[in-house]
Amino acid sequence: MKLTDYVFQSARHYWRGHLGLLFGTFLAATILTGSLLVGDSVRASLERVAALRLGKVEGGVLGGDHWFTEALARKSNAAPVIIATGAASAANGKVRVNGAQVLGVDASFWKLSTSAKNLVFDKTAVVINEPLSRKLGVKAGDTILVRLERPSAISRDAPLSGSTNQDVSLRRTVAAVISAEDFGAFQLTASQVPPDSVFVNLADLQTQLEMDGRVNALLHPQFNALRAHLEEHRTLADFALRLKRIDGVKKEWEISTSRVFLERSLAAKLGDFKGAYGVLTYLVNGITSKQGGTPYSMVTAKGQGKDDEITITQWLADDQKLAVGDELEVKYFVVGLGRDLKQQSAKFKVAAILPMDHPQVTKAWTPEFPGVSDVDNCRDWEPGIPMDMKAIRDKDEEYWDEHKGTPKGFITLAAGQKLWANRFGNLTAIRLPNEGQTPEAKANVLALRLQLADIGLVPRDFKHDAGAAAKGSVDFGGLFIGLSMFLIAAALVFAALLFLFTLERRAAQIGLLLAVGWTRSMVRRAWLLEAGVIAVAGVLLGVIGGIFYTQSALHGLSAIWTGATQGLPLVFSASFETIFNAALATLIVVLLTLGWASRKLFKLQARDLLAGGWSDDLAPAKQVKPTKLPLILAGVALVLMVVGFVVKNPEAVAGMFFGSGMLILIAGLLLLRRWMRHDSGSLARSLWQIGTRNITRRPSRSLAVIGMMAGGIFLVVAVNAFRMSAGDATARDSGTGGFALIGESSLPVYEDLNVKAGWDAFGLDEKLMPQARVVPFRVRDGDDASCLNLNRAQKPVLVAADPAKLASTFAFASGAWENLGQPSRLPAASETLALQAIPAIADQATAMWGLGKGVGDTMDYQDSAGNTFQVKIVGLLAGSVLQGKMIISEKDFLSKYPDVAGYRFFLIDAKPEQAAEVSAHLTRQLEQRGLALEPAKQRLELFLSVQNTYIGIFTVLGGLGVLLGTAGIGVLIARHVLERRGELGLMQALGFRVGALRSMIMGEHSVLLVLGVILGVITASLAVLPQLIERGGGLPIGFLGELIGAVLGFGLGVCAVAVSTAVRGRLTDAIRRE
Amino acid sequence: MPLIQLTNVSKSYTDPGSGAQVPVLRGVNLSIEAGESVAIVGPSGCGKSTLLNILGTLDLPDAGEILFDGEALASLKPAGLAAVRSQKIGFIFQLHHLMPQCSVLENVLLPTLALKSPPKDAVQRAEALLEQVGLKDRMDWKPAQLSGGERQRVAFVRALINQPRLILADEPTGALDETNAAALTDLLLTLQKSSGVTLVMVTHHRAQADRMGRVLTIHEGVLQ
Repeated sequence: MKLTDYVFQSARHYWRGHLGLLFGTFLAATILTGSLLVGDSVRASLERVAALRLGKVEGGVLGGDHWFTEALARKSNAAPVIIATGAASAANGKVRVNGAQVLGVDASFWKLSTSAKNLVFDKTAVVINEPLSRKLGVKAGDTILVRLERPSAISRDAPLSGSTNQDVSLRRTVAAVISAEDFGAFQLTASQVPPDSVFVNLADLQTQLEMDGRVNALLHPQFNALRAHLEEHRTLADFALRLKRIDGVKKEWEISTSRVFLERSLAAKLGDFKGAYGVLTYLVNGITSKQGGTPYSMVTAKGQGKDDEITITQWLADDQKLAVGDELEVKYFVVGLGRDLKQQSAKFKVAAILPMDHPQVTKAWTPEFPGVSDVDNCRDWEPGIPMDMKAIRDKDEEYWDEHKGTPKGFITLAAGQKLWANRFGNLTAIRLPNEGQTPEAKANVLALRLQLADIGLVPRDFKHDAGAAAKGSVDFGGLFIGLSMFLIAAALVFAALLFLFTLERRAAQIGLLLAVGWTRSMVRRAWLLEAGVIAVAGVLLGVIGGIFYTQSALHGLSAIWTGATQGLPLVFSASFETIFNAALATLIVVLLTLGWASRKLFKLQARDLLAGGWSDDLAPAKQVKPTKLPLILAGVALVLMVVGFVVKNPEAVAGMFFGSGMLILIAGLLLLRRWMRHDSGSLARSLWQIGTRNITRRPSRSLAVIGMMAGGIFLVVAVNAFRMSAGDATARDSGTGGFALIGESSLPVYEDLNVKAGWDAFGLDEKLMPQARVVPFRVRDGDDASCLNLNRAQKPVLVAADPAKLASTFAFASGAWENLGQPSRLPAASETLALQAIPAIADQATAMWGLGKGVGDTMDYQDSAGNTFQVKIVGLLAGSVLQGKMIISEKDFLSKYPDVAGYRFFLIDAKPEQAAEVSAHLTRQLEQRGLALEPAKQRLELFLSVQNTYIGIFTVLGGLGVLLGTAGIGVLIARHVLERRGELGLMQALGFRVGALRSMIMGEHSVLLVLGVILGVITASLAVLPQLIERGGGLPIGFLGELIGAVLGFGLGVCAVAVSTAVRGRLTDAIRRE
Repeated sequence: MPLIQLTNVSKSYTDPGSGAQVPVLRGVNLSIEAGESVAIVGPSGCGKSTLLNILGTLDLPDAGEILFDGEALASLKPAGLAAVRSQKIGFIFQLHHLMPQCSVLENVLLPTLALKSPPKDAVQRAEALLEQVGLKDRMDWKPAQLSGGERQRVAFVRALINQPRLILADEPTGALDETNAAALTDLLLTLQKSSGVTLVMVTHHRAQADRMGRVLTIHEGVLQ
């Protein structure tokens, strides 16, 4: 005979006794497997969404504000695409969808879809996806309106960028409504929610946006191929650069840009050519002297010389009767944050006067300013800066007619850059010697010097990013294990209890094996192997159960717990690896639990075991010394409660009260343990008193009953203390920051909505608007890192505001708005990258769960020039409406993204009674910008609903755990009574009626149940006290009350059944057997 | 050299009520030669079973020295004591303590599993011993199918399977009627003599004790 033979025979022989172990293991395996499979399924669902949204796209380039040539995409075998944001509405105008994704595509795009189905439609039509079709209520053949902004080559914030609001409206017929498989789900942002998309004919959209031959994105089916070959096909046009031959004083080439200001990264490289020099031409507001003034003139800065001198043209000299040596003042606008313009001035001495036929006096120095260069009359100028048209004289018009933008003055480049350099650049052109090359050859040479990466046109591995994002921001497997922890614990306790019963019954066998020479480890191994055989069977059954559990959980997540999955279409997925891991983990945990639970038994002496089992019956009652521990715990609990009343952070308050309740629970159990171990020494004079003795007879079992009931009720009720509610949303330190409204616009709003100029731009009510305060945020698009996005955000959205405008708003878990206000400075060469990092503030939930980051952690971003920089978290907002975003200062933002113009995210202060009016007014007046506002409290509640859903799941699963624990108690009672059948028989023989004995047993166990419930309810009430004070605070009081009632009722019922079953039959027979 | 030598062995237990130490064995000196049969008698609670447990390494004395086959037991660790039990000692209890899940043969072989390398002829030896006690034809039976006497006979064979030097029997016939008890005592002595093993038996029955080679009496923890 081998040890394994013995083990299998024992397992077979005692299979009935092991049913509890089998059931407990089955349950634990079911829950563990099921939970992990939920995680698998959510991940698989996210991967499915990622696969649908990317189709065959692996890599690509996103130009953002940098539009490059369609040819670059075609030569790279990529699909040229325009990606824009706009608003779509049904032709009747009744329904409008803001933030719609407007895509300019051609056949090469459709080849990249999962189905590769080519959708052909002409310029009069568009294709829309199913979500947009549903929202607009339109179908194929209907007409829709799409509004989007015409892109500007230059940032709309830049001085001289022209007019701001240049919208394009497309009225098109819906050619088809496409499914997700046909690329209806296409989007590059990691989100489980499909976008609202309009697909426009590429050529059509290029024409409408006045971007013929240009696109702002390209998509490629092979990232590596794209990365290897993209740069090979670059041309100057891809950098928005123009090459022009200049035949002036000398033959030169001029490189200028449609963006007006040359980007610094490009200017630095181009300026390195031999003989190259920079030019900066600026529209000044006026040139004045003692003799008079000349409005709106171009001044060019170039070359070297004295920085306080100016060379003027004869026309200007004549206009103001200026002579060499005279002093004049130049007035000009400088750009601040956003479109803030400040007029400044500088004084110069006239160094020379150039005749109008001098070769240097030419309009070639002046770049093409939008709204200026392309108009016939000065009075038609729309340069994007405030102009006093009355100041323009007839002679100025004549000058414009004759000389157009010919500069009226020349200063040194150093002087010009000192005055007019801004975040968009410090040169408007670079000139190079013309050595007789053809324009094509020269352009090639120049293009070779540049890299697309210099302007941020870097191939991105979308597939890799999607894979990383699809790993999920929330590990649903871990989450469900966490939420089911009490249920798993209850199953393990159940299994361990019943295993122990079997073990106790067979204690003599352990004694015998020890007596015949088995070592303790051998005996223990044999037992655990026997348990292992049962556990393996339980685990195998549990794996099947786990699959059903997963199906049920997925159903729950799709039906009643949708808050947790936020619209993700869930699919079931099970991998062998997960199932194997879950099964193995269950087996290990069960065996460890059994090993731990039985540790005392295996330490007993063989003689004691042979003498007839063991129990803490054998332990003598002690004269327990008074212990201070319960009092100390109660004291600490009291301190926590007092601190909890002082602290303001709701989660900290919940934590304090939860901790305090937990400590009181432990203190209560310790006190009960003391009572049970205490020998009263009094004489038991009634059956009831004898019953009470039975409670204290096996203190461990009695405490297990009370602890399981109290612990279960405490956990299930107290975890609800972490339910969040928006609370007083008008308070500045609340999650809304006290702001009444929050919203986004589809198109940027460039104007300041707090001043009259902004009100005038949108026709806003000048009586209503002073009652409101708008805090605008610049936005750099990225992944939503809020709890509403199940994907793990790779590059969270960056938003930027002036920290001063947010002072004293929101509650911080760490840091403050002031942390954003550190003055930015150029880093010293010796400084590490971390020191250069830009300070950022994030919502605590975003940082912890969405990004897995904390204070001091950094994230890499790329600026508009393609350089990597770091954003460092310096503060965390507590439960705020700003979830999902990284907030940095506007100043830092503009230093990295000078071209991102306007504001797209808004927090609005308004009196509660005016909030609705302000919201309706702004939404209506800024309809063209696609502004959508909602009450901040509503947005906050949406975020909080995710956490509350998790708590809801825990409550249900924990409730099941408590009920299971109660069933376990029933088994425990039955077992206890069965063990006592001999003594019960004796009592019957002594004349006690069976009914009286039954009442005694029922009474003693009911006391345990009631004690457990009372302890649980008291401690749980303590934990949820803040919520109770807050009139419920979202507590499901009804459900919790019902749960406690059900637990008590079920417990008593189980107790009654257990007693009745165990006391059935002739008790006196038990004496004979003994 | 005696098989077992006890020198001044004492053992006490703690009184559950008062917590005071209650002496069970007081300065016991005992020497048992190999092949001897010894009966230990005395009133209930005199320390007979405690002495037997100490002899069988199931309990350790508070004071004194025990030499088993010349080896001091106090120097052995739990694993060493277990090895002594498995290789040199066989136990017979008042209750048979047979494993209900195992057959008669398996019950007999149970102690061989404790050996590092179970003897290859263990099964043949078990069969031979079972034949000696008249249970050859019931080798595959389960304990529940046997009578009380038969079960105890299986327990005898189990005690002998590893060819121990010493058999310790704690009232081995205490749960049997007189006829069965007498028959089993005969069998036990026959087996003892045929195998040459040393037998130490605790018993209440004077007549049974008198059949042993030597009778020792314990009174209030003192060996007389």
